[in-house]
Amino acid sequence: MRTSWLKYLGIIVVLLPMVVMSLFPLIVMISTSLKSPAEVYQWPPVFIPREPTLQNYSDIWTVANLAAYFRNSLFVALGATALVMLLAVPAGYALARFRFRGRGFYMLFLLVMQMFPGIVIILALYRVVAAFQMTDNLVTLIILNAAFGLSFAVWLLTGYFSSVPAEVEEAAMVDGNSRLGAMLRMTVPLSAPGLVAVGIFSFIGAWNEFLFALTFIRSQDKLVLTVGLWKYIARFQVEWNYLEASSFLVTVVVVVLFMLVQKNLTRGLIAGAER
Amino acid sequence: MLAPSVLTFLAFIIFPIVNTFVAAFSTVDNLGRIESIGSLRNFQTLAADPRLPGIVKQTAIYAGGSVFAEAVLGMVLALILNSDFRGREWAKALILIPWAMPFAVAAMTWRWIFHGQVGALNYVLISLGIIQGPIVWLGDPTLAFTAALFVEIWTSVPFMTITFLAGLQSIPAAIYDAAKIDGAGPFREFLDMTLPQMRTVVMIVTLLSILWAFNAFGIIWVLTRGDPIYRTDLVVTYLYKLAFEQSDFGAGFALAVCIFVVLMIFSLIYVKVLSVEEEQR
Amino acid sequence: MSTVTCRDLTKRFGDVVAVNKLNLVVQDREFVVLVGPSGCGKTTALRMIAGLETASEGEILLDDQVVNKVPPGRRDIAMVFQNYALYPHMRVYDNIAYALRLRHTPKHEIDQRVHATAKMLEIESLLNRWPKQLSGGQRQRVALGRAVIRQPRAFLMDEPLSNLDAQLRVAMRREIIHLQRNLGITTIYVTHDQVEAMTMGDRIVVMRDGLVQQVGTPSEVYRRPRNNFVARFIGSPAMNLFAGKLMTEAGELQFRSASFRVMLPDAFRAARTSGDSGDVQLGIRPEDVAVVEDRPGNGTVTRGVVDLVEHLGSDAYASVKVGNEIILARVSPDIQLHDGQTVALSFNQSKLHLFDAATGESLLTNLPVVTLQS
Repeated sequence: MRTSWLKYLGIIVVLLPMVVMSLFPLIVMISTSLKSPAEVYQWPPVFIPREPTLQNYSDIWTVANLAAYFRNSLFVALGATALVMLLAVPAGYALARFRFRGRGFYMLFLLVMQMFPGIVIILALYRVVAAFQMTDNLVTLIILNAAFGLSFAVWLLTGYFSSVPAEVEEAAMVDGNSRLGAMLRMTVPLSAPGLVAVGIFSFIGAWNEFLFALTFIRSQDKLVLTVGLWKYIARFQVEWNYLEASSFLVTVVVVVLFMLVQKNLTRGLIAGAER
Repeated sequence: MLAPSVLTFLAFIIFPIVNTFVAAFSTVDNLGRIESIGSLRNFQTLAADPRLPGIVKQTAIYAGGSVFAEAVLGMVLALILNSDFRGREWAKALILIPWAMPFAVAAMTWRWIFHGQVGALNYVLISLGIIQGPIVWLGDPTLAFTAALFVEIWTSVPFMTITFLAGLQSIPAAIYDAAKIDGAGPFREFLDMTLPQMRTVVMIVTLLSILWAFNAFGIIWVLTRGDPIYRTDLVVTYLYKLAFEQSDFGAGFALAVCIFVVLMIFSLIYVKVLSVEEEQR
Repeated sequence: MSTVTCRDLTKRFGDVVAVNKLNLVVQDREFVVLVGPSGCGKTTALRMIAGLETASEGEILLDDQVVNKVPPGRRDIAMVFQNYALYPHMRVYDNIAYALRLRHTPKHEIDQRVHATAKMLEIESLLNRWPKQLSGGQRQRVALGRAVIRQPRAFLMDEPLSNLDAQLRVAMRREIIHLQRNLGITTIYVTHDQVEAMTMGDRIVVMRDGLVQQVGTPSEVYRRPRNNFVARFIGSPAMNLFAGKLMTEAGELQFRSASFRVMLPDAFRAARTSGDSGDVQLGIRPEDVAVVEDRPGNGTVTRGVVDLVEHLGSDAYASVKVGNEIILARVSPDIQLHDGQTVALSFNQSKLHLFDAATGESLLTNLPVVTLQS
């Protein structure tokens, strides 16, 4: 009773502005994407364009080579996700089920790795990549994204696998399965939501990635979305309407995916923290 | 089972780290290839760099300021979202949008909003009568820095909020009942019950955020590229410039080593805090 | 003087009425137990008295003051929770001291009182520990300590013993009783366990679905249940209840069920069922049913076949099948009965209960007390 006025005060003073702030760029994005080039630079700008047009959304595919960028981003993100899952699932399973020397150390290592910014080793990576003649190659991005997304994936998966009771596998093994069989038939399906969540996180991470994509790709047609769109600004004349239309599409993909997993996020964070 | 992942880590993380350290202490040519090992020239170059101190200072303010603001906002939001009200689920989902958006894309849009002539921000402020004419936000060093800080906070608040919310929800509700009976009012409840129990979460998240703020390459690069005149550069973007624009890989390696050391110190604190809290569990 | 009064206390959650016009006066120093199955409203009622829930209707009075709008911290009551609700981030000492600190009690006084309380509850050695390091029983004592140190007007206890194992529960039950007697603080205690209610309460309030079924001393509630719910809820094993009809045969009042018939004392004649349908339920507790030798003149009521005998060490209970009904009888633990054996049962005439089949109400409440030799 006493706290409810405090709560409402908080909602009005803090929550509402924050929600507006969160939405503001999106709104500007959508609004700009619907404007014709003439209207974009108008002053004073209007939020609701007087002559809304969907022309931008069709132009960007040709003018801005968006299709290629989309393809590239998709390629990298899917590839990285597949690679991450391939590497992380066995690792997460091993950490969840087995006790072995070095387990604690490995977990610690993962923890520290999660905070590790790629920028620190970018130079060394560049030399290695250049030595292997792998610059300007999307596969490089797949590998690097996988490597950097790996620690988070393993961390989450360990948590998810731990929450599947070992008895289920033991029952399967008593029934005649090998350990691998038990894992594939029992644990994996049971932790499916967790696996999906990790997959989506990896995908989002690779989709949003900027630094590596910027550093290791040169040719225009190999750019991924994040860098491709940015290069727009680097040009002299920025066609903001195109940029915003493209941005919107890129964002929609991610936000939709993200909303799907947002509930899993907190669960995963806690599960991971409880090891 | 573990082998593949371990190998990956070794190859792509451990090896480059070692490499970086070695290269930092060597002379390096324009393309980063090592010429001779065992020289401090790179560090000397860094030490002599007149821009570096300012950049370091900027980085510190950026990391510290953003984390502080995020923590406060995150906590307030989490408290609000923890109580029941209509539209709560909507609010929760909407708050997450900044974090879900690819930050490069978000930064681009913010750049548009901050546009000196026709940006939305200018429009809103002029309409509200707060300023007279349009301001070139990203042109003025202080304003541009503030803008970058703002975008960083905007991007990271959702994470703080969600994590704090999870923490709040793990506090048993009966505690508050007991505290009420003992005579605690709402502020006392927050100070004596909520905060102490959130201590672990707060510390972890704060440390993580400091580390991530260090990592804020994308936002700066897209928003301002470190302009005007290096005044919004962080150590991370400056590193990039040193190596790829000024072709001074050597200094880049040296800077990378410094950053690494600082990060390691923070990480160690992080781990230490975690293990201390673990003991108390 | 610390009386607690509830007047027409009601609580609604949407369409559900959790507590329905509760009227209760708890006297100074009295130990009253609210008992009933889960969901009967007892905890909600307690929380309203505490101030943790607001009353939808009705009044709560402490001494003679209406406290509906007074926040819990200022009602001068203390509460012990089912899950103890100890502050996990504070040591035992601070848990107990918290309320005093909030009131800015001087430090040395806090220290003195905490130690005194801890000593009384035999937890002095635990003062420096963290709640998670304590066993269930120890946590319980700390929770009690937290309440006791306040020297409140009333104790409110919400199933404090349910999380303890059986033996500990019995021991703590006695401790709480002693504690309450020594301190003389008015106590309202909520439980679903009728054994606790019977052993601890000066008076019991039996509740069901938000409504008070009966208020009385344990003895009253046990011997003169006002309806068939109370009759079966109180007492373990539960009272036998049989459906049947009241009949008069050859001038004698009888109860007749599908499987047997019982002669009823003359005094029962005055009992009237609703609508005079004659549909009643006969109740008799297992300890008032005896297995006897099958001889005429022995008061034999009926014969049946032994279905199952449960041995409890100090007692034994025989389930005897009579027609389609099972009658539970208490028998001597030494008795030799085997399944399938035919036995004769006898009912203690002075311990019969009669309930209206439609309303469940006892039909004996209007009868003069003297006719029932309780």
